[in-house]
Amino acid sequence: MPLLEVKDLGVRFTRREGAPVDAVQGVSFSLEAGRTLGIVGESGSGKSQTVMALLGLLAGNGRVSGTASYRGKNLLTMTEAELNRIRGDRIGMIFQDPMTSLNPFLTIERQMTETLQLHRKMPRREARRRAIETLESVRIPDAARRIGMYPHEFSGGMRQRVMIAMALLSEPEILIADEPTTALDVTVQAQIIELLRELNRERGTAIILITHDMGVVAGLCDDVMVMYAGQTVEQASAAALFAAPTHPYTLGLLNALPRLTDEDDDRPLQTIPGNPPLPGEVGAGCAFAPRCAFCSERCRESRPPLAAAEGYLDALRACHRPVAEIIEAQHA
Amino acid sequence: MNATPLANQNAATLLSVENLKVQFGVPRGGFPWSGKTTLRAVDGVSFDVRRGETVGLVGESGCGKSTLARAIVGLAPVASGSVRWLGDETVLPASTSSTTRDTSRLRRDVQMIFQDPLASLDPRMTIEQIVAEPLLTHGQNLARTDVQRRVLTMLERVGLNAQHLRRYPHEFSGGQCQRVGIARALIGEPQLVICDEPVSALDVSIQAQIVNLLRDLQRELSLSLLFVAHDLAVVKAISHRVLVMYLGRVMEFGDKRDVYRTPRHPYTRALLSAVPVPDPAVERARRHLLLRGEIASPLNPPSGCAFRTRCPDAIDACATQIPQPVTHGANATRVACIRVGHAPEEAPLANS
Repeated sequence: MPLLEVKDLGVRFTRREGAPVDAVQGVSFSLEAGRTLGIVGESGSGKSQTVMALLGLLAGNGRVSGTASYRGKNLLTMTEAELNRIRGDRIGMIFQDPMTSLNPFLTIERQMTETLQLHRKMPRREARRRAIETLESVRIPDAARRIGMYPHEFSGGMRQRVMIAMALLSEPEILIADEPTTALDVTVQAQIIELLRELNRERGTAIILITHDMGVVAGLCDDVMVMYAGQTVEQASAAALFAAPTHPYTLGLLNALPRLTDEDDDRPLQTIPGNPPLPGEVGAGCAFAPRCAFCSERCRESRPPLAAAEGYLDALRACHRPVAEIIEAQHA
Repeated sequence: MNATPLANQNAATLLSVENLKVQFGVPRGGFPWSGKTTLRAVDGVSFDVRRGETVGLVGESGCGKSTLARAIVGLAPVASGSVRWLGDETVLPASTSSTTRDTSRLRRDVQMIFQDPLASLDPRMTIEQIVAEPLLTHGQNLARTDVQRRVLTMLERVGLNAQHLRRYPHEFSGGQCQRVGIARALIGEPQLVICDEPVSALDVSIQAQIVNLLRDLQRELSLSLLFVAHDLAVVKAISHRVLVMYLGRVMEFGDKRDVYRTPRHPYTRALLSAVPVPDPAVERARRHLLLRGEIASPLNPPSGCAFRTRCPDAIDACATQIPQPVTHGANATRVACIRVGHAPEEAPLANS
């Protein structure tokens, strides 16, 4: 049984004026213990709302549908009290902006020991010792002294380490990281990615990484799910997806990236024309159709379901066009 | 080599920056009598931009790259050093020798594109007013119909059209706002455009559109660009020469091909090594050159070489002297490191 199994997840936001907006539609994935899953997409693709929905963190006007079973229990129908025993304990979360996700009025010690005192009923002294150990394990130098400091006394990379340490305190089985390195410099990003990789390898923590950076996914994730306009367009192992993307959007995304290994920089970058649709603007057909180079009449009329890609065993794709056509275009 | 023909080494120097220093006074303590200490945001930077070339300016946050860009257009206080325009006159610092006329010329010839595309457009102005404004401020006494015609031509050039003229910035996406920002920068026919992280806030698919647009415009109008960014792959795609900064100082400055293929400064090597490659086969086989810690505080920079506290190749001598830039190789790359050639050469990328 997978650790986490999400089926047909949908997130709908009601609006004071106008029709409700579907931010996420029909998202399914499963996460085995010790695996790493990357959820990739551009801003507004629904990648963050997907995990927010799992943890019951949606805004007040958001409604969730579908199921998400963690060890056989549906997270989406749990009471707040039941959910509180799981999130922050069995499922840890780290956010993009380490400054705004830490409480500026409390010392790191207060913020870290709170979790242990609450979830584990640990006495304060023991909680403090455990917090220091965890800070050391994410390589914060001089942890015993720095635990008494406030968030503003830490640099961006150190704050993100503190966030990771907080998530690790209860030794979660799943760590959800929402754009954990987006606000960081590349040399610091490399340190944080290395840290996450170690966690996964040494403690067997399963990781869901939400990012827009294909490079970060390539370095860390076993499986990848690509989202566009609230829907999954492609799902495959990282090795398969990067070697042979089967959806035109994935292909476009990979081609649009400038690379350090490009030999000929004078060639223009390949672009995806136009802009992603606004929520509520998606019609009956494929959401990517207006920007797609392979688009046909059928693509504009009916939405392709997510189905196995013919000839590519471990890949799922939502596209009407034959796989061969996309693969050929990649090598053209 | 089929490099852009305009970007040859003999092209005239448009802008030359000589030993530029920008300093800010920051309070030392929480009280008015605590006194002030000096933050050296830019600490003795020299470089030049030739006609029709793109100079990429890279470095981590806090390295002074944006401050340097802003100082060139007079938006940050220059403590010492000079900014020369077309080789003949010192235009900055403006207070000393130059007249008002000199600065206004620089203002017209040098334009800027900002990072946050929406925040850099006045929300109460229509797109037409925003794009027309530089023509009106620089007092070229154009007829109204001329202004309208030029605004429309410019908008079409950046991929917008007449329908957008009467709209307001909030009606546009980030990529479209950046197109408006580019139109506003280019309408006065500047010679140099300073782009401060112009694509960092954009999604990948939009980012490629804007990079291509800037590159096309540059070739057509033989513009020079100073392209400030932290994304090394984007800088590689657009630049001819690259300047690597760390803690207010230049670490390496040279031809793009040299800097990316044979980085000489340990910091350049570390930066390139840290960029993740979007290919699992390559990325997982690579050995990353992980740096210790983070950039030091510019309030209290290390003695000697600014990078030595994180440098894998540092020796005792690095702490005693500030390394001066020395030229290396056929393309005269300037490298500020006393350890060049001593450290084990390791290509940061498996690049055939």
